[in-house]
Amino acid sequence: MSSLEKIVAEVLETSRDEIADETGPATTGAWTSLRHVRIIAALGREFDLRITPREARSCRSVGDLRKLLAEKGRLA
Amino acid sequence: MSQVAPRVAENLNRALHTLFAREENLYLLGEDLLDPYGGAFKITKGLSSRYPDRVLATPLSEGGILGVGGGLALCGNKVIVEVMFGDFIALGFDQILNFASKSVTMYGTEVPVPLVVRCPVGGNRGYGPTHSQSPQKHFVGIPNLALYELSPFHDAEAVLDLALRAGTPGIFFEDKVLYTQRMFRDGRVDDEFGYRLLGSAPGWAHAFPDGAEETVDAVVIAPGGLAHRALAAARALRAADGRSVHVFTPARLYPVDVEPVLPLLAAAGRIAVVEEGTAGGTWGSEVARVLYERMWSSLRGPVLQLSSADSIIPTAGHLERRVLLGASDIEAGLREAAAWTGQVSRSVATPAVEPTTGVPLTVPKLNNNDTAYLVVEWLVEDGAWVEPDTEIVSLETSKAIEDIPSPAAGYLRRVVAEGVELGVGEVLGHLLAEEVTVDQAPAPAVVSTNGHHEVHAGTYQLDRAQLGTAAVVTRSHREVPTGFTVVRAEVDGVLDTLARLSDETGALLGLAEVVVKAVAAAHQDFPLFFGSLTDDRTVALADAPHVGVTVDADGALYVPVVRRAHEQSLVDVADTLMDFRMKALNKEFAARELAGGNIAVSLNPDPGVVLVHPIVLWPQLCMVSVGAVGEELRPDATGAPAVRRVVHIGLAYDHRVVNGRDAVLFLGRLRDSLEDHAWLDRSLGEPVTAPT
Repeated sequence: MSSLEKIVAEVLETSRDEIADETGPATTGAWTSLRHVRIIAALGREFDLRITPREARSCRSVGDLRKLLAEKGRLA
Repeated sequence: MSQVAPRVAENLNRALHTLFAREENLYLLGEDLLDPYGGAFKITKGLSSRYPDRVLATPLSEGGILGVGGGLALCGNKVIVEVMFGDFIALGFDQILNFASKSVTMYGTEVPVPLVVRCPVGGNRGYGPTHSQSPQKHFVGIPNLALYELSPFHDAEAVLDLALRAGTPGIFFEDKVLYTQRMFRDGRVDDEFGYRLLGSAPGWAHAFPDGAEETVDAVVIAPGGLAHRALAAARALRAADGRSVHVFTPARLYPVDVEPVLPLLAAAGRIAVVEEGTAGGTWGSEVARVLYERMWSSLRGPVLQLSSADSIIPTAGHLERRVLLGASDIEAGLREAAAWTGQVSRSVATPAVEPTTGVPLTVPKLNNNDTAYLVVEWLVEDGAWVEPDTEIVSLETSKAIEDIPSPAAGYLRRVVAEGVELGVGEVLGHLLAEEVTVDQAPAPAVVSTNGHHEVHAGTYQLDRAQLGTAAVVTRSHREVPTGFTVVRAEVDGVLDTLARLSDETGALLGLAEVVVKAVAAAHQDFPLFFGSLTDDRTVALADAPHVGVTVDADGALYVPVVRRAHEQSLVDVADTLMDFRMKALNKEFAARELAGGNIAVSLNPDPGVVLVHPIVLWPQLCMVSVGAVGEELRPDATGAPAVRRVVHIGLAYDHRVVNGRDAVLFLGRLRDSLEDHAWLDRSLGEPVTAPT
């Protein structure tokens, strides 16, 4: 279990087992817009990087977040 | 036109001559007013020679004079009665209270009683206890009786003409010290102050410091007799503190009509009413009462009422000056009420150089929530030279940290330390023309900050953010009588469309963006919903929809504003909202991002939230709330039960302006925008609106 899934599960207040690459606001009502930003902010702290609002709103799933981290050289 | 303005007495004398020439049925009655004496103050000089049949000297009986005057007026004439000293009007009070004023409406049909009682009043002449009083307050609130006051701003002919045409009796109070003063004219008071007239003539005079017509720290409402003293106080406060104090003088004292000056008073927020009479049931307290009714929410503090001392008026000049309200009393009263004496600065720091010159750096008003802000950090060294608009100090509101620019160039002399909380208008420091030595000064003491909550046994101290929220909701409940209506919208279609559009654009698009666009699109057909009340019957309409959106992050509630939301595409709105959420989490909002909304949307997407009853963010009139998406079983086209996704959209509205039917129509428009989602495709990259 990577840090990414751990962070997402903590913010969504759910089990890590519930987190998959497809998980996102479209698949769970718990992924609200504000929790989306909390996930972004937590990732920023965890991986010491700055995520812009445009990057944040382009990530619509755990898979997208993983891809963003990879692009920034932080493989999760 | 002569180069020198006429004296007030000359202006008044000319006014009487003009009125007598024009009005053939005008009479003047009074004691000792025939030529060559021409009255105790020579105001009636020349009239008896020119109009001997209509200018009549009377016995020394105010009751008799006023009775005859009232009778003449009741019979269709116009009458001016001169009471030699205002103190003597008490002898004619019965004729005014029980005859002249009542006669207007006690005969079953309205009867004009054009009677004006001229009444020299006031002290500062050494005339003693029975020839110096200001009896205005005894006549406030009598039905059918209007009160006027002589002023150096207002042409006496216009005021007397208004009084004689009003159809009701009136009293024209004339402060004796004005008689020898010159009239103001051509919009100038002196080299420092200009003036203009507001409202229907003769209306109000508005005097303001040059270059500060639109900038006002405080207003002094002064009857004509106090105008010079109020202006002197304004000059002193400008010279010593750099304050912009404006003076307002009405031609008619009562009934009080503040409409023409209400916006300016609201802009000032800090108001003093001054009068020479003694306190207690006065014209000034009546003005304060009206202001409390009309602009309670705009006031920054109680209306300051300044009167003379509770005393008879001594004859000896040095004692009389101690009793009667003077310019220095007005200056001191304003300083104390507005805390312009720099109490905080004295208590926390002692400047090496007394900042008696230069430009004061004061705490500006940054929002409507807070009355005080925290000095977080000085951005410029003490004693350093700063250019205008240099960011000089950081202040923390309950919502944001704002960097304050320097209002002028100069050497900075700080007078408060970091960590101090200051009220709006209080002095942070001074910008001095000459370099100052700061190392001799004790460093400003750092006072404990109060930016965080503290927990003691059995208590919990609210932090600044929550105090800001508390101020907003308290004001909302105090100011806004709300109604509330809810509709339900089926959102399967719009959610499916948003999912598709998100895939196509790469943007995270949700209901929030759609609602912001839908609300903005409704501006054209529902302009009142985007307005604000400027007084009880006036709604200021907005030129464009600026939609506030709630963002609740870590317990702090923000309402940043999507400006000109109708011109933003759906993707632009998505970017803006994402930016807001990140700023909320990082506490990076600037005050300007939280100001200027004319409607708000409360977003509550947490699962299980059915509906939210929002407050109305005064001075706005409406707030929309959106609950979480829920599921309901509804019959489909075949009658079989089918799961539908729905949201509840609520509208809290100021019921003084918006009625329930309009609220339903507005919500219906929003519901249609959510259920008829074809417009979304068109609004992706262009400022297309929701259906109208």
